[in-house]
Amino acid sequence: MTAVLKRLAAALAVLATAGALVWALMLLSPVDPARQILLAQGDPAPAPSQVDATRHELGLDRSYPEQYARWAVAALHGDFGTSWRTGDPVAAELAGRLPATIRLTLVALGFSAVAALALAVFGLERPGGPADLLSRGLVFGGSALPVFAVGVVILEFVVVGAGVGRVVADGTWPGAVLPALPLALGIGAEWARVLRGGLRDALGAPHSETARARGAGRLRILARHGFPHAAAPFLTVAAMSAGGLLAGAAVVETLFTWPGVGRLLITSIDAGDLPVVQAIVLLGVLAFLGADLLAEGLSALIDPRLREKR
Amino acid sequence: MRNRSLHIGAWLLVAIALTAVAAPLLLPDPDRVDYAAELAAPGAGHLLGTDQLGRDLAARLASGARTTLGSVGAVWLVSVAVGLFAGTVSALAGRIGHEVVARIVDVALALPQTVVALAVAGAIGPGMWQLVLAMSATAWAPTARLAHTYVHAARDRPDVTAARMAGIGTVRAMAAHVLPAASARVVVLATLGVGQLILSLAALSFLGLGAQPPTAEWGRMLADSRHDVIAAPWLIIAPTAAVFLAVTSVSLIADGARERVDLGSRTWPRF
Repeated sequence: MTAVLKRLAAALAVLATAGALVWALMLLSPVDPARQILLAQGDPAPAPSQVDATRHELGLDRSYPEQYARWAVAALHGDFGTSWRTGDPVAAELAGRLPATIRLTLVALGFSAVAALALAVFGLERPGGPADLLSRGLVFGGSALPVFAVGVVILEFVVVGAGVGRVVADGTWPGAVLPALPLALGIGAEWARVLRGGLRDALGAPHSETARARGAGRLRILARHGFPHAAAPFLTVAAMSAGGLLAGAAVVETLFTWPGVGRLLITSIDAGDLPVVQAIVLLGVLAFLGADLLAEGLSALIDPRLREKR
Repeated sequence: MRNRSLHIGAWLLVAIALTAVAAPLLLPDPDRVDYAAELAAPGAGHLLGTDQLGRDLAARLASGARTTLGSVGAVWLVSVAVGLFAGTVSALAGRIGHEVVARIVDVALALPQTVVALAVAGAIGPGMWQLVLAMSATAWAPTARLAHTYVHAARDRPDVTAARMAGIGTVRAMAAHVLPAASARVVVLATLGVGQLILSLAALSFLGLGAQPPTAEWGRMLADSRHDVIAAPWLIIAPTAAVFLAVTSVSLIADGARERVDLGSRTWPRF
């Protein structure tokens, strides 16, 4: 129990530091937030007095620690300030975009899981055989192909060329199938590589030999001795791919004009809309930390050897 | 047969680097626009054809190789040099020094590399050097942890103790007995991440956050000509193949090198 609490405390400390770093991005930016917000709200030439009033309202005339504390408290309440591009609350913009991204990533992760499972098990029992070579070749090729190139192929040749699906994505579940494919390619290949390595180790271990000698079937050996052993490294890598998910989603969403957070991020970066960038980046870090904690917890549940160590 | 993947990967990388270096002597100017030769097919005049502005694709690919090798090499160098330095200092500096380094490493490890790059691009604007800076900011953390683990464990090794008893100072004992093996491990670990790094940099450039025109970069090249790929498929085949070959070569090198040194249980969770 104390181990779990310790781990949670460490994650919170990291999140607080990440928050401070994300807030500090504002200091790097050459833009005056008060002026920017007034411009975004439709005032073409804000008067200096008005800018000063907004600065005071935003608390920009306070000391840096005070500013950070106010920003952090607001962020914890889900308030990331006002978008410099639209003049609307950042939280509202995000809330409108989040469901589409969640749909896209869930479909992509589902594809990845199916592909990883199939590629990990296919040809596993005869190393060096044709099935093994094919599967390993697919995994190697999949992890070396850029997501954006596969996305362009699907968009230009399948959607535009062959007329399958829609050019302007609507953010619904069926619309997520084609954009999810390039996203799933790299993740699926990486998952398959680790899962396959873990399964191979497990099936070659003496206890699996013993089980086989005692007449256990192939499925039973795989389920009882293979997967539990391969679970921990696989879950670690699966959680790490959550870190690349935001950038991947940005590529795919921009290509397919998917109305999600990734495209909003790129639009905001292009427009220099820092508050929205801050919110999305923090969301990305949060997703990564959450996935990491989840993976560690699941690993400990599945693999008793990890429980005794901590 | 011994370590075939290391050899194939290394030769492939040498070939890419040679192309990048030799191209300016053999191929046309990669930035020269020629509207008369727009979307020309591969052939005698232009080895791999031309892009939507009539620029020579082969020359742009080679120029893109220089961009990629330069930026990836810079991040790799930081992750080796800073990682080795920070890890060694942390292992030798006593409790407080270790705590400081370890906490910074914890945070750097918890920040996804591409997310940091997106954040930096959002704050100070797009550009290849901004990306290199952002990627380097976290790239040294895994290598620092590995260097720390190795050097820390080696402090009390018999050969190191013997060297110390023979009157050699700590720094010299470390430099002679521990650092060569530690740096070999750090180099291999840093190389393991390079394939992903190439893909990330290309993807971010594809999004317009990396190399700015007219600089040639593989991801950016595909982004700029993506509406012409049906009419001119070489515009997608060439940059994709370039990224694929570069990632393949460093992956083969990393896989081969990993078989030669023991990275311990650092990359995977302990069993």
